[in-house]
Amino acid sequence: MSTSPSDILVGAMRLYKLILWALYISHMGVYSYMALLGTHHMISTRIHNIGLWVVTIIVLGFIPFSYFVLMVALEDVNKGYILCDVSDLKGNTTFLLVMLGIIMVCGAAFYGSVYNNARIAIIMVTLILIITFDVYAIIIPSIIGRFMYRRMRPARILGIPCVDIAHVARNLILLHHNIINLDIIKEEWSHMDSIIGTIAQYDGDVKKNMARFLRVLEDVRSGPLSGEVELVKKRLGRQYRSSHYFILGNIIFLLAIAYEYIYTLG
Amino acid sequence: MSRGFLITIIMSLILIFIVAWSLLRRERGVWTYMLLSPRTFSLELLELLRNLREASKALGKSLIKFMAYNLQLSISIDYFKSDMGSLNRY
Repeated sequence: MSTSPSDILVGAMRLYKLILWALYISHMGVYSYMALLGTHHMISTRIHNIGLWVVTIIVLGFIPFSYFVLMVALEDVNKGYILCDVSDLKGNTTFLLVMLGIIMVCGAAFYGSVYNNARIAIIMVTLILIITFDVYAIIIPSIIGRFMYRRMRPARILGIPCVDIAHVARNLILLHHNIINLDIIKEEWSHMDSIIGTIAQYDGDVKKNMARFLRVLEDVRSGPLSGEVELVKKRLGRQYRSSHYFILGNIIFLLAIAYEYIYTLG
Repeated sequence: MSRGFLITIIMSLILIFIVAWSLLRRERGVWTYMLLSPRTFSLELLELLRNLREASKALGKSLIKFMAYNLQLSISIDYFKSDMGSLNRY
C-alpha cells in the first residue's frame, strides 16, 4: 500500500465525499419518508385544500433540490481539488447540513399540517431549528473537521504536515479578506514564521513574497500609522463580529420550546 | 408529556448550546470582506492596508502553489485554486 502524501490526501478526499453522501442519504431518507407518507395520507383522505397541494408539490420538489445542494457542497471535491484546509471542509459540511436541516424543518411542518397537529409540528420545527443552529452548523462539522485533520496530518512536505501549511495559507488569505484577522496572525506568528521560513529556503516565490509581507507587517506593527490600524481594527470588530446573534437565537428557541412544552402540559 | 421530560429536553438543549458556543469561540477568523471608505480613513492608511492585504494574499497564493507543485495535485483553499492538471484522481 502506497503512503505518499498525494495518496493520503486523495484517500482523505474520497472519505470526505463518502461522509457527505452518508449524511445526505440518512437525512433525505427520513425526509422522503415523511414527505411521501404525508402525500399518501393526503391522497387517501382526499383532502380538498389547494394551498396544501401546492405545499406538497414544493415539499416533494425539495427531494431533487437537495441533490443540487449536495453537488454544490461537493463542487470542488468533484472537480478533483484537494481541500487541504480543514476550515473549507467544515464550511462545506455546515452548508450541506444547514440546508438539509432547513429542508427537514419544512418536512416536519408539512407532516404536522397534513395530520392536523399544529402543536406537534411547532415543537418539531423549533427542535429541528435549534439542532440545525447548534449541532448541524457547529458540532458535527467540528467533529468531521477534527477527524479529517487526523487523516490528512501524515501527508507532509519537507516534514511539515500539509494541513498546517494550508492553515498558514488560510490565515494569510483571511487577512486579505479582513484586517481584523491581523490578531490571528500576531498570535500564531511564531508557528507561521517557522513554516514559511522552512518553505522559503526551497521556494523562490515564497521567499520573495515572505520578504514583502514582513516589510509591510513591520510597517503596520511599528510604523507611524500603527495606532490608526488598531483603531480601524476596533471599529471593524464592532461591525463584523456578530456572535451575540448566535446566543440571542439560542435563547429565543429555548424559550419557544419551553413555552410550547408547558402549553402542551397545561 | 411529563414535567421531567420537559426538564430533560431543556437541559440537553442548554448542554448542546454550551458545547456549540465553546466550539464557536475557537473559530476566530472573520471571512466577511471588509469595506473601508476613503471618506472615513486617510489615504496613507488605506494604502498601507491595501499593501498588507495584497502582500498576505500573494504569500498565501505562493504557499498554495508550492503545495500543489510538490504534491502534483490540484489544491483549493477558499477561492484560491492551483491546478496541476491531475484533476479527478478520485
